[in-house]
Amino acid sequence: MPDYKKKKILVVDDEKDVREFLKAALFEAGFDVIEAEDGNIALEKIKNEIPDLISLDLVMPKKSGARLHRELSKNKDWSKIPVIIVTGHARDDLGKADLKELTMSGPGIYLEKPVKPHNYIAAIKKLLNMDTTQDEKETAELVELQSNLKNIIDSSDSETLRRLKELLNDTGKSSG
Amino acid sequence: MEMSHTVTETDRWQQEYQILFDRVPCYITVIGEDYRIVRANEAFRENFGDVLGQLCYKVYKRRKTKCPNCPAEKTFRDGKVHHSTQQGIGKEGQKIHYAVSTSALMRDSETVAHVIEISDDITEIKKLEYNVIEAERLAAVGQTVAGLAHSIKNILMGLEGGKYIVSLGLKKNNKDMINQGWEMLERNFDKTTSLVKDFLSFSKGRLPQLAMINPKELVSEIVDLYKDIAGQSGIELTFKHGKNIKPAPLDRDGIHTCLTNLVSNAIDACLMSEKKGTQVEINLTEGREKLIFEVSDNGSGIDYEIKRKIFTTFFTTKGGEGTGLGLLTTRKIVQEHGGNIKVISQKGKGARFRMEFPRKRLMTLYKESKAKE
Repeated sequence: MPDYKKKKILVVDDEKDVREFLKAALFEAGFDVIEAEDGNIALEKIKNEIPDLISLDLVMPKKSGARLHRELSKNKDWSKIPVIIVTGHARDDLGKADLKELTMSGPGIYLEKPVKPHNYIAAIKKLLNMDTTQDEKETAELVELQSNLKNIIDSSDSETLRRLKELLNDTGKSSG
Repeated sequence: MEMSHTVTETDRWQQEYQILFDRVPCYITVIGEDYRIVRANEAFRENFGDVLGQLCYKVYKRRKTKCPNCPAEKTFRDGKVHHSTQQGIGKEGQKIHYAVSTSALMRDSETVAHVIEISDDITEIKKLEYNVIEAERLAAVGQTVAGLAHSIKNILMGLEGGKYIVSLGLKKNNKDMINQGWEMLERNFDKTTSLVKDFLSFSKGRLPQLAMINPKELVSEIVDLYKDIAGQSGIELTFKHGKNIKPAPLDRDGIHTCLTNLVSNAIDACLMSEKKGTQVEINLTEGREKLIFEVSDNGSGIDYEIKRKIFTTFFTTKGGEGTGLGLLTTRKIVQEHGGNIKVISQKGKGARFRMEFPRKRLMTLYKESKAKE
């Protein structure tokens, strides 16, 4: 057993299966887990005890992930909690606007459902600045890079996209 | 001298009328009782060729018999002005859409010997209309595909989770874990089935099968269906109706689906609320020429953020339980009946869904469907 105090992750998702899945992966990696099925319950749990990291779904009943995030960012202590967004709505109209707002403020990274357990764990360890194996380090870097690229692509105008495409094509040619 | 002056004047007038007749930017023809073209202006000749003495329906549409719904025929009969839109074929075989008006050319007698037909070429307008519809259709397809992808992603997440937990259980030789993962896999396979079922019923673009039914009986069936389920969760389900509810032409299965969706949503909203003494009420009333169904509850209500999205494809707040097609299907069925659906709700104060069916439109649809049989 590691001798440091176990890090506590708050998993917020309205779907029980998703919570069970993420909880199993987190337990396996040696984390403590608390759960919440919507933004309201999550807020109660945070008031009770500040978690080391929040794993957050975007579209949920009662209080959505975006609204919870907004409330967290208004509080001095809560705004520092790193957030990993796990959503299926990343690139559709329901989640896009929320995601844009989220990624513009505060620390965080987003993963698109379905997630692979080792990507999820590697990304969380990176966000928490924890010791990682070489493999985890590489995975986390890849996940972060993908997440950042998706953000850039999602938020860019058509001209930027066009230039990006040209750039990628050129790089492909010169390396090939 | 005088005489020649008048002749010149008349010639001039005649010339001017001829120019006016030829250059007016629409098609003008004069047809006789035998539907042969007696005169045609330049614009008409340019698009349909030299046609004097030919049958108008042959020239306009290359038909062998008179067109159905012919406005000229009506004018010959009653001497009044008639309008209609038609599709013809130009001399080079191109499709021409035109809006045609006919009026009687009568001199002394009371019978109409000639009819003047004036047609406006609306081919370009039709093309634009078509482009708009096509663009909307493509946008709808795009939305549907994105929504479907999202639903599948959610199911994949569940399958990924089940798979992971089963493999962890096997590694640790932990039977409880294997069971938990296996159940997760089963649940998500079931979700695939219900998604496909909902999706198919939504994609069915069909005309409502209208038959005269008693709306009161239909609602009673729904109440019988849900009374026990609601009661078990401590929710009171009631049905109120106005005095003079008349039978209406409705698609029994369709309206059944709408009411089932609304009532089960209302029950879910009550379950989500922490309040005690929750109620679901179905109200059936006759409005101004309208048949009105209302389903209201005093459950959790819908906040603004969600209200914007409830009629969107695949939107659900029910986590894994819903496919997000219920209200969309409901709205589709209501619209197919020529009606509309509205929602009044405030977070924490319950919701009221109102389906309105204008009786006039129901009757028109009913007559149309009868005519097709």
